[in-house]
Amino acid sequence: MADNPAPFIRIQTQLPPAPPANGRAGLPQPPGAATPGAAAPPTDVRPALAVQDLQSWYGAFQALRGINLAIAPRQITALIGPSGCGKSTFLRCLNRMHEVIPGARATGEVLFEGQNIYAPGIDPVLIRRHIGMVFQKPNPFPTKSIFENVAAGLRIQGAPKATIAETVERSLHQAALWDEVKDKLHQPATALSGGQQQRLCLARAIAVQPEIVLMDEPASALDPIATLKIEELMLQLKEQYTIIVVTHNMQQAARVSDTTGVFMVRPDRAGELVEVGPTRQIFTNPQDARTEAYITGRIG
Amino acid sequence: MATTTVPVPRNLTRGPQTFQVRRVRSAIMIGLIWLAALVSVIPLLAVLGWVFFQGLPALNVDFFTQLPGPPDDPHQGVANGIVGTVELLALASLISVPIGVGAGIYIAEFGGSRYNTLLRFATDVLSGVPSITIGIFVYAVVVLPTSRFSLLAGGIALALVMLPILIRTTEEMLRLVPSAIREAALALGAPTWKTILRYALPAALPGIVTGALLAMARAAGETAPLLFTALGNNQWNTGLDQPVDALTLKVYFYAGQAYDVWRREAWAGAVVLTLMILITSILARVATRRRHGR
Repeated sequence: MADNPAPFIRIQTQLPPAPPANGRAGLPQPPGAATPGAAAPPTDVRPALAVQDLQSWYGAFQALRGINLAIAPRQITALIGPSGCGKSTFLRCLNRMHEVIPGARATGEVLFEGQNIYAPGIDPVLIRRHIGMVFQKPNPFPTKSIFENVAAGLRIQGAPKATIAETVERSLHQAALWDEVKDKLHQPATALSGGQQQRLCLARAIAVQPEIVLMDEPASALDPIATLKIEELMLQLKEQYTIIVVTHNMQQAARVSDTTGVFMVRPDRAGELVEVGPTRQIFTNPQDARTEAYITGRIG
Repeated sequence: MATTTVPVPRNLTRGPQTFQVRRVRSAIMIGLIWLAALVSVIPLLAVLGWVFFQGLPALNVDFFTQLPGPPDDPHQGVANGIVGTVELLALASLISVPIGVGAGIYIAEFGGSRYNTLLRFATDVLSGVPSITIGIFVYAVVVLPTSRFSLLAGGIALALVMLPILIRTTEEMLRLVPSAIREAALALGAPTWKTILRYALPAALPGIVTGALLAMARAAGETAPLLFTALGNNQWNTGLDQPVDALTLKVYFYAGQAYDVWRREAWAGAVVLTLMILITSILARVATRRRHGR
């Protein structure tokens, strides 16, 4: 099945043309409603991220091959696929966290506000200040209090001291955690439950007002109730933020996302994006045979 | 799988013969390892017991407050040695902690694998160098050029003893910090140095402090590196470039003397030294335990 290149080519043809180096005016039009299987943001025409021909490696092993994808702003894009298909790797390429792993590298273009984040001279540290991340396992700083965990990004980025307390409170409200922690802000973050810790990490990520929040299986280590809370939060947060979420849980993708991308493993073990489209369409009328096999439980 | 297989009944009752044999064999082996454990504890208890038995009666206020004196002086002590040991340890820590922790951070967080192997090997070699060799080395590179035995030379010698312990514990404690913590900081837009200094290092700090305390305890008990460097001194130390006394040096010089007064001073010195090291080690263990209790 994977030797059929058709879906790969089809996706490429949907891609926006390469944008000019500057300005909003000439920015790529995202694939419109006319092309089925493409993200179709209703109002804002400018994609939050446009990925072109992204390749990534771990040492000599190529983990991703030729990924092309436009991410619609202020929507939730879900990335699904079987284990080892590279969806987490792809996510980490979007804020240059991939290269943090020794031996890992990526090539290609990821256009963020018209700039390729892989262009020479781009500072990955600054990219990560605009494109935040929530990890699979809750990872609060164990030596810091609840308050200091949310304030961490603000302090790192040198926010004015006077504004920090206010921003921390607002972020904890946004993460629906304020009522649970307001009386113990100065206790260690590790005293919280797993679900609370994950919402704390979410508050920490949005405290610095990123444009985009990447979530790498944010609920896979949580119980169903905590998972539900995270999903409700995602739906609220998409009013303000562009969210890209990797998930193993197809029901979760169906519940929360507007657009879904499906990753598959190629015969050479590299991952590729086989199909992307409105979530409803992916789950009801997939265009690719592999997508259908995956969502009906025959792959993965 | 629908075939009907009748399970063959196994004989699971214990045979009286084999069971007895196994029980006796087990008892013998447990007895042997118990004996080995006992024998290994005896020297520790014997040393501690003998040192305290000989030394405690020799302890008095003079020991802590008076300077050394001639054998016919009943009111003498090693106050300058106690202070000297503290001075030497403080100087040695001042030199070795920044360098050792820094090198540990480098090995754990940076450096290609080739460098790391080399650095780790060098550290192992340094920790294996006999302490008398360190003494001669510092004599050659510090004492001879400056033409004087000094606190500085003694501090450098003890710093060399502490260095490998500090490097290894810093490295190991940093490796125990989950990479998730570093990734969390990096994903918030922290540069590498902030990630390490503000987030990884604090998480490893209790372990590093424990390592530093153990290194100090080790250095406090060293005599050989001080023989040709700090030399010893019957007066108060008056400066970095002047000889300084240490408890271990006092024990070493007094233990071989014929006068009872001085031999008692040696025993008392041994007790104080042992207690200092014991207390430091216990403090280090308590610090470690508290960390794991969290």
